[in-house]
Amino acid sequence: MKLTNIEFGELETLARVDLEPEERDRLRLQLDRIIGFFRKLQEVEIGGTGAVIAGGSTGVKPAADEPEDCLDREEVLGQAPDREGGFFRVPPVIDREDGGRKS
Amino acid sequence: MSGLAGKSVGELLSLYRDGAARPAEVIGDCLDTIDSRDQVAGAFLDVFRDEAIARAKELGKEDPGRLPLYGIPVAVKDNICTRGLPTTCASKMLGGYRPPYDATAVERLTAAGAIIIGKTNMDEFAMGSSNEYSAYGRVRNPWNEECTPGGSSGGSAAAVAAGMVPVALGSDTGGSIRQPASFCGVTGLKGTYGRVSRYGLVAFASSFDQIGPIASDAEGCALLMQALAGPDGKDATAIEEDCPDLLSGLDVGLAGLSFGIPEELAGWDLDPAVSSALDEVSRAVAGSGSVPETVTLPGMETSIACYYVIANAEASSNLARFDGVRYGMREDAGSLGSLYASTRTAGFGEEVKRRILLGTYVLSAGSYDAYYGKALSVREMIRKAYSDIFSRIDLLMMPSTPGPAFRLGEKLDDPVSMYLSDIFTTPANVAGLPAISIPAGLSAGGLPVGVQLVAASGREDVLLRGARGLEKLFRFRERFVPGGGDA
Repeated sequence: MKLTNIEFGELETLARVDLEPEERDRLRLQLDRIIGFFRKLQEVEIGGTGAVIAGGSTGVKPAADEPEDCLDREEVLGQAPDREGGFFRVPPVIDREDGGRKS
Repeated sequence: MSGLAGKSVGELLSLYRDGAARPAEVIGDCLDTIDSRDQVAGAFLDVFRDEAIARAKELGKEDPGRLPLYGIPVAVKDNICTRGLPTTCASKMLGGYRPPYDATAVERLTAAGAIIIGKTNMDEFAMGSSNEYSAYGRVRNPWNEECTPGGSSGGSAAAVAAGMVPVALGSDTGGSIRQPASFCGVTGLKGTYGRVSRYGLVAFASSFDQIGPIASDAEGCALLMQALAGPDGKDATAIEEDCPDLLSGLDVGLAGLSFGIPEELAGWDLDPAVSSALDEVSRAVAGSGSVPETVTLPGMETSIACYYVIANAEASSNLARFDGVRYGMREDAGSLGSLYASTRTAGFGEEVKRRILLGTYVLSAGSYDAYYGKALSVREMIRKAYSDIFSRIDLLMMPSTPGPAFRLGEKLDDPVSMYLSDIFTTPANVAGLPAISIPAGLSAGGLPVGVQLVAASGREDVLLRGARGLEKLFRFRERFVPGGGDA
């Protein structure tokens, strides 16, 4: 099974990337080959073995539900590409009648 | 005094205790060596010259015996956060980023007396096996400039191999400490999953990622790991039990240890130097009174497929945070959705995009059960199989890589071939086990090859004892130096 252009385009949308045509063609062919390699997994008989997401054999222990010191707000906001007061600044999220742009 | 930068961690600690060297001299020699050798190697992305000199002067006032890593210069892979100092993951996406906190690993090393001297080059976001996927230039192997140092911790391995620092931190998700250590003729240790806190390690594949040391010998790895390891309230996956004592039994030797060797190795096209090193270990083990047991491993190629499915799935999720809003680069656009896409398209290199797309595919409806869900089950099978093997033996020995370092550019157009260079390292990540690569000898072309040991979960003490034993057998550091063949 090979990825169609439409399927690959859907992957790009989900992954939030927008490739140039040449890069898209190259990556689509490479993905076909790599996914073909992944199909080796289908040959494995897993019997009753269940899927476990945790990395360690001991699993993950939740942290205590207690307040802790957090990072300094100014220091964190200082790394933002754009900010306004105490907030990260981004383009409009909700479409408005004027096209979502501030005058 | 020159030549200090090329000393091992243990040698430097002895010099300090004997009053034969001071931290400022050692840092000075490391900085001089970096200045003279790194223009070609490209191992460092940033050198913290002023900070390291100031810290060395401070330490000069203290008692050398009080701190376990007193005055030890450490280079840190650039995906490990250093407060107020650049941390780019070798990506344009994080150009200029200065984290507001230190990784737990960095905090612990500093508290133990180490001096962070700079940040090392790597494959972008730790995705790669050759260090050619850095946005800031490739790294060259100190043994042969036309060859890759391996990856993704290629800068860390090259810095140690070229004698610029005695030790460096790497991170190992599928072999990214052990494979470059093998290619560069140094020693690289990945602990049990959870042995070292991941707090402050920029996440690639959270269920595999582990920070660990790359040093010129096993003792250096043991000294660093002892300081790095331990529970951490900031990482829910960190092992809650304390790390065993890694130093007191280090020199006990191979006698009494039981070894296993995978029968599957017979089917692999190994470099003759790798086969010869494994034979030498078998003879030494037999000489110490034990016969290596032939063991059957779960399918090696299945293991690597399992690894790449889970790692890419986790990467596609982890890297969703890079969206041009809170930190890193931004490509301005008229809407939030197009800002995300334009920033990520411009900020990520091709290998990162490839892996995010693969991860997105295996997690998408219609593929999830066949790939991601199946890989999670296969991982559990592999874990159980290794657990069974380690109920019978102490250490599993196998190659670190099938052969020595490959040439720069050789595998860039063939991702599957690049992925297969991790064939012997990914099983320890999939099973969450501690593993180490020890330099064993040189190939016919004069490039280092390594032998890998894997131990049972939580048994870094046994692993390092075995590594020290093999190190005495191979005497690699005494026999060979980069660029010169025999030492």
